[in-house]
Amino acid sequence: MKKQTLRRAAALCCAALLLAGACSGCGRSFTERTAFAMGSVLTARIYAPEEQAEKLFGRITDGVNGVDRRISATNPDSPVYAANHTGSSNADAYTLNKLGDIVMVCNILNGTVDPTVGALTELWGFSSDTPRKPTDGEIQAALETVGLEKLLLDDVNGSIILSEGQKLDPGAFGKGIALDEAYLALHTATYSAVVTFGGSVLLFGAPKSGKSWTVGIRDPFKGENDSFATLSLTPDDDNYVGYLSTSGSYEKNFTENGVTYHHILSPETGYPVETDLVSVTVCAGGGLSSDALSTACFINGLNETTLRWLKSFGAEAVFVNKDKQYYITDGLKDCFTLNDDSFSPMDHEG
Amino acid sequence: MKDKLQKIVRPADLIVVAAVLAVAAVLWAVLAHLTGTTAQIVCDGEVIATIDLSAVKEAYDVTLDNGVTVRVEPGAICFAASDCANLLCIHAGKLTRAGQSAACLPNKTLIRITGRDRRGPDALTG
Ligand SMILES: [Zn+2]
Repeated sequence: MKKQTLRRAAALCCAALLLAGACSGCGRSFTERTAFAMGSVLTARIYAPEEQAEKLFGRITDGVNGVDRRISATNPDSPVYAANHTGSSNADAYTLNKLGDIVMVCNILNGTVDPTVGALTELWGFSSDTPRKPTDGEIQAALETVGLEKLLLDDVNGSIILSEGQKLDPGAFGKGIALDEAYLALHTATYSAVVTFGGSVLLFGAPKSGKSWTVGIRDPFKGENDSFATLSLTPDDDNYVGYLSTSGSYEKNFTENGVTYHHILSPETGYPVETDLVSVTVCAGGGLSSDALSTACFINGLNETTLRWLKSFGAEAVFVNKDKQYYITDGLKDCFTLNDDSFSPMDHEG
Repeated sequence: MKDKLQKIVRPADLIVVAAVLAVAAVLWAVLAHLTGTTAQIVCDGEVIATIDLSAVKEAYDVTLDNGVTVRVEPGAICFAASDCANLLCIHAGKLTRAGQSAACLPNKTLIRITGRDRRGPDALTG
């Protein structure tokens, strides 16, 4: 009799251990991997058994590295790098395709974002160790080279031909294009995944921690892990794909003679854009469009044109200004939760 | 038959079941707590150190081959020194919650607390 009780107790204890183990694991049914690419951190959380997740992550990094090898201005192997250094280069169909996509989106956005600002960004050196304010003369000279119409993408002969002194800087689009590639790596998979690439996000599949995907928007006045608000995105079905991208003046800036210069340059003036905005977050159905839109919206400011652009891409956005005020486009109004009471709604009539 | 049934489910068993559930709950809490404070140091995509922050009693520094120094404290981890120009890694401050991360991009070094904070969002954009 006693022996039986003991046996039962032992069996039940094993059950307890299993239960505890399973439960502590239920929130962790994902595999997380990190890599460095294109000067940013790439992190993927894949809700799949480790082996499959590993395989998918390999495909994602292959895709992202492929973008780096083709359109990065800092990768010596890329046709873009070659063109920037010699004025022209041979380019494969993929590179020309991606550059063509960028030009198309920029044309829709009236050239408010522009990949031909390379000479300007190099002058300011925001990505270098020694950024500086150029002279007005230098800026005027660099501005002469800016313009989508001065860039020739020759599909027939497979080449990129820049005009005199022109340089490409696909920086405002690279992360978005990389996330588009991450989606291609995942799209046949039946697993959910969250891929973040230097502040841009790809949400794929069914949400795993409730009925919505939740994405924090960085607090522009605090550290990189602090969010002032959270968006809850509820998919209609399990085949959800969502991209978020944020442009903020808190990123890459420097102070010279008491003036702080942020890295978002106006292709029109050649100077960091003067605006009350400190960040714009865009949620769209594509990586390239969300990335390009967040920069374009930041540069153009909150106005009718900007809101029309968002609409034409089926995108939504959250604008934040220096007075800790925010503006949310209609489609996100029910998805928005404020985490910090010191922020308040902007009085803008959209 | 009735006798047999009584043998299978006895009042004493209920106490055992309750005890087992209590033990499971405690174990779960401990396991969940442990997984919430595991930090990793990643260099160029390679995890070079995994640290249980809840087991850290006294702060210490880890100096990496690339010259970056990471400070490990009870329940926290942060960049302490780096030769990078912008020092964004240092400005990122202390990480204490699951899902938080900070990077020194010029040195391709990342620190993070693994797992996902149940109260936190799926991702952060910014
Ligand atoms: Zn650093």
